[in-house]
Amino acid sequence: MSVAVPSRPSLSSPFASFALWRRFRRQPGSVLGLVITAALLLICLLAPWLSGHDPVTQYPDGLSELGAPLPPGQGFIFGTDALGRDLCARLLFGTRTSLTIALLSNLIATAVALVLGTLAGYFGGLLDTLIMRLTDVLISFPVLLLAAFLAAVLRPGIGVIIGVIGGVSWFYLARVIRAELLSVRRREYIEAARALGASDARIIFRHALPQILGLVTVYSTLNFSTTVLFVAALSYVGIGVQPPTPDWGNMIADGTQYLTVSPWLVIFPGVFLGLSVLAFNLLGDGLQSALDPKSGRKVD
Amino acid sequence: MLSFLGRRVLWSVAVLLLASLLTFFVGYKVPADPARMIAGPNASVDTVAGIRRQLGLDQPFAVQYGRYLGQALRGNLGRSYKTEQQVLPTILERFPYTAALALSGLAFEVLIGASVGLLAAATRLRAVDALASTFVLLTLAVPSFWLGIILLYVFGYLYPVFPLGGAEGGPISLFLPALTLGLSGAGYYARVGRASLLEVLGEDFIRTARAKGVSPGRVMLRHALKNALRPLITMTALDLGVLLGGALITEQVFGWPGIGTLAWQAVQNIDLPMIMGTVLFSALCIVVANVLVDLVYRWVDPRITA
Repeated sequence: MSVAVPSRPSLSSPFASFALWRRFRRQPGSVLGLVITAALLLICLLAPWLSGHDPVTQYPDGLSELGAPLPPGQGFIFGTDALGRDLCARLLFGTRTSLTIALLSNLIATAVALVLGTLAGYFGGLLDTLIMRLTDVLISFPVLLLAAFLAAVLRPGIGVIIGVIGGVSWFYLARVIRAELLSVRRREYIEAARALGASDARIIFRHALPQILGLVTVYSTLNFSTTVLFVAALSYVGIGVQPPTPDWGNMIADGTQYLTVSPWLVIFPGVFLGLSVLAFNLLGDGLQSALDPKSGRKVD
Repeated sequence: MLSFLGRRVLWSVAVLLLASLLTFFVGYKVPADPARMIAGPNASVDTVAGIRRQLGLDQPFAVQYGRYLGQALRGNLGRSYKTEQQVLPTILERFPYTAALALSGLAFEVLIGASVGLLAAATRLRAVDALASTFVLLTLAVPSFWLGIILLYVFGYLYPVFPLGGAEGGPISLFLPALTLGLSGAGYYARVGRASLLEVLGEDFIRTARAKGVSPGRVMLRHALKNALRPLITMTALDLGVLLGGALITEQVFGWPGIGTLAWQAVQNIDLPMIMGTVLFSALCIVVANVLVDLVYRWVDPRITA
């Protein structure tokens, strides 16, 4: 990369990542996002040891004498649900389910976007036209309806949800990557590399992609929060994660039936869901302003 | 201009065709047997085969799709497998509900979102800006269906000001679903409104206006706001297209009898003609909104060329 004049600090050099952290740290919101994300990660990893109860066991002492869910306190920190299951354990394990599905679908979406966006932006021509027209079609599509249809037809299962959500959430990122590569490929150092006889593959992997790594990280992080909401929405309408496996969306749907007697069944999973989306948005915004200080786009 | 319009319309038709092909293909590959679903679990094999022949489900994919397309072009989207009602009239029957929800939701979205964003940029007060940022972050983070449930709980049950869902209560039952739609989308408007006004305020013509002694209020209203509103208007038009196709989740939460609920029931029953109909209708709304926005843009700003 001797001829490279990076417009953004590369993620690979340790010096750059220190500068990155200093710029990231400047915004309290970004740090908050990072802290919440770390806490959620810990919950995912340590769910079985943190909860103390089992998420699917229906505890005989988990219901009141009238058979109603227990309010928070009384041996169950967050109370119990209508089947006498520990809400705290379900929330912790639900965090694991929701975030794992969202993470995997987001990885799929990012991978698809990287491949198609790079092909379209770097090679241009007919390939570019075809891929961009495909994103046009998908953007005009009622995506949630398509996902619901696919998930219903393919019978609900975690693998199906991951595939469906990943398959319908790549096009925005693909357009961003394409637009960026269109400008990157005209830069002098790419010309120089080509003049020196570098192959397309080498130019893409050694010179072009490292330039857009930061951008991809930012958009992928922001897309993660959209994916989390997507998973929850699908589970809420009953075609996402199937009971008894807990997930924020199906917990909210379950709790809605008992909303008037035990509102905490809806409130807690919603707070977890909202907090995680908030955290990933803060993290994405923080990364954006840290990676691209010239953009002047403050976290707002 | 005309050739642009022609190309744009042609491309929209292609998008709709591709969308219909994609949906039809998924429907064709469904593991469940629609003929068996119509006939019921106790029907004989012969009856099921008869229904399959009658619906043309025994034909190859190309034939089935061709026939569907031919009928669709003549305005016939077939009959629901479940209720046997004509698809298009059923969708049109639900449309007023969805349209009412879309328009009122959009009104909340634009009024709340744009005023928060524009206020933050116009006042340039740190406190106002911080409040606006918090508002944006919160509205983007709170899932709409959860917000809807909580609003129902608080204003439908604890303090029963509004009906607990459905559309029987008249216009007042529209308030909570519209507010839910509006709040969950308002963050984007606040973000874009703020960024847009800040950008316009940095332009040369604003400095010129100030330099020649135009009052600050007049600069803001006549020169800055007028230009800052343009991206917000685009967003509104595009969102209207999306919302007119049915608000799948919000309609669900409030039991609102619009196209979103119709589509959702169709998905649950694997009612293919109804699914095709609602998908195509939603896609049509989005595509038309996109074309209109492009046209208006060219009309407003002749500098834009294809």
